[in-house]
Amino acid sequence: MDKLRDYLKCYDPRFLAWTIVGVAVLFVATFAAFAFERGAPGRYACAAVQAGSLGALIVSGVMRTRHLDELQRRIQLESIALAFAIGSAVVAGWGFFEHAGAPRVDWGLWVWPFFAITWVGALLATRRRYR
Amino acid sequence: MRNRLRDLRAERGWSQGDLAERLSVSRQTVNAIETEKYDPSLPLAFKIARQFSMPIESIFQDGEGRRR
Repeated sequence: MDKLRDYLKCYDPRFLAWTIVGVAVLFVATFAAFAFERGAPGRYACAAVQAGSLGALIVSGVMRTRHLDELQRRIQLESIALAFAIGSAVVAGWGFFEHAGAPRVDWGLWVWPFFAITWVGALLATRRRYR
Repeated sequence: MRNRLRDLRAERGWSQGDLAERLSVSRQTVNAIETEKYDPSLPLAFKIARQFSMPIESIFQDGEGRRR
């Protein structure tokens, strides 16, 4: 119970809500966009929703940071730096494989979940250091 | 940096959660300071000192003094 209270104190649940909403809207708009021809007004509308959903992710990021204490901020900073390094290396590395003939990945869509997963992994690893 | 936080907290019968509440930080932060895995910022160190009504240097020691 203490751990849950600690978690809720440090990680504002609104952050999770904004993130889920942002990601859900992004995915729905992305898949809805396939129903329209390129250049059609509907396609542009979907693109606007996609771009707008990124705003929700910015809000969630700000909310999260504001509720963190100094150690949590350090953990976040280290994990984001680690996730960024790993994520960038994988995306750039996959680019070499694409040139060699590997399947093309639409990073415009997949970079977010990929970075999120990398971030969570880096976060868990970094948190262990301060346990 | 060494510190006496765990002893001081135990003397007062506070849990890590109690102290975390008083300092407005997470329990993990209190634990990390006690286990000396994390050195608090100066503002947090002052806050800790105020909670125990003690000067900072009697709670935290950097070990430099012993080498001289």
